[in-house]
Amino acid sequence: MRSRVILFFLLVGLGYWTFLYAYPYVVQMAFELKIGKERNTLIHSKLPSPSTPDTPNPDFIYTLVFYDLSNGNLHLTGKIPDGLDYFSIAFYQSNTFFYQLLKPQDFKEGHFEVILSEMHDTKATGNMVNVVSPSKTGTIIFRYLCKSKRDTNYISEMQKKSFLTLVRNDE
Amino acid sequence: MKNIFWLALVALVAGGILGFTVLSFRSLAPNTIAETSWKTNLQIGMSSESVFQKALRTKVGVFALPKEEVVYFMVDKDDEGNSLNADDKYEITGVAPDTKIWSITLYNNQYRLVQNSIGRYHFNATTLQVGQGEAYSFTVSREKSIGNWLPAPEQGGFVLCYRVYQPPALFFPIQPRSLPRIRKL
Repeated sequence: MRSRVILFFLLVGLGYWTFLYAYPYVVQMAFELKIGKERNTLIHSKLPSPSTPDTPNPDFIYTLVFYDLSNGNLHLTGKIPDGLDYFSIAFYQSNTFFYQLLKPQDFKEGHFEVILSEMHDTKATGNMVNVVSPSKTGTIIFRYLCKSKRDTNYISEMQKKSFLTLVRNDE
Repeated sequence: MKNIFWLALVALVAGGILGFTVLSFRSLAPNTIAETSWKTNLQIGMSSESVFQKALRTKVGVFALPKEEVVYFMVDKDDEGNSLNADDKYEITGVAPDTKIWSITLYNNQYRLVQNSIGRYHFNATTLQVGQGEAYSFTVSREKSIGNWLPAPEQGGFVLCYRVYQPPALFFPIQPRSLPRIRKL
C-alpha cells in the first residue's frame, strides 16, 4: 500500500512537470493554428486599429515566419530599414524559446542575407549570416519599430522588400 | 495490474491538472521589484530559466527577447498593492529611462490589447510628452480624461506592461525609483 502511495505522488510530479514542459509546444501549435498560414512563408502584420487590436505589442509591426527545415534550408534576404530606431530579426525554437537575435550591425551594405539551417551551412559566405536552428521547426520574428503612424507606409515598403526562399536539400 | 494502470493514469492526469491550476493562478513574471508592485523576469533566453518560468512566460508573453534587448515589467496592482480595476482612475508617473525606446502598454486580464474608440493602446517615448527632468504623467480610466489619457477596459481588471528596449548598463541592478509609480486617484 505504501509503495503505491509513493508511486502515485511520483507520477503526480511527473504529470506536473510534463504539463509545464509541454505547455510551450502547445502554445506554439495553437499560435500557428490561429494565424492559419503556411509554413515557410512571410506573414506581415499591421498596426493595431480599433477594429483589429489583436497584436501582442503595439510598439512594433511584425513579419512572422513559421519555419520548417524538413525539406531544406531557408534563405532570407531583404533591405535593412535605415529610417527606423529599431529593427531586429529574432529566432525561436519550436517551443517558442528564443535562441538568436540579428540586428542591423550584424550585416553590411544596407541589406540582410541569412541562411537558416539545422547544421552549419558551408554555402554561407561573405555577408551572409548562417543561423543554426536547434529544432527542425520554429519561428522567425522581424520587429519594425513603429513610433508613429507616419512610419507605417515605410515599414510596409520594407516588408515588401523581404524575401524567403527554400533551398531544397537536393539542390 | 489493471489497478496499477488506472492509478498511474489518474496520478498523471492529476499532475497535469495541478500544473494547469498553478499556471492559471500565477500571473505576470516571477520576480517582484522591491518597494513596487512591478514584476519582471530577467532569465529570458538564459539556461538558468526554470521549466516553470518558461511555461509562465509563454502564457504571459510568448516570443520574448532577452534582457540585453528589452526588459519587460508587468504590474496588476497599484502602489498600495490593490488590484488595478477599470472602475477606478489611476495616475501613472515616472521619469523617462535613459534609452531611445520605451513604452507602457495596457492589456486586459487575458493579456490582450483593450479595444477603444481612439485606438490608443500605449504611450511611448514619442507619444508621451515629457516635462522637466524627463518626468511624465498620464491617467488610466474608463472615462475620457484631459491630458495624457490611456483608456481602461469597460470592466474588470487590467495589467500594464513597461518595456525598456536596449537598456543601458546602468539600468542594472534595477532600482525601484526607475519604475513608474501607480497611484489610485
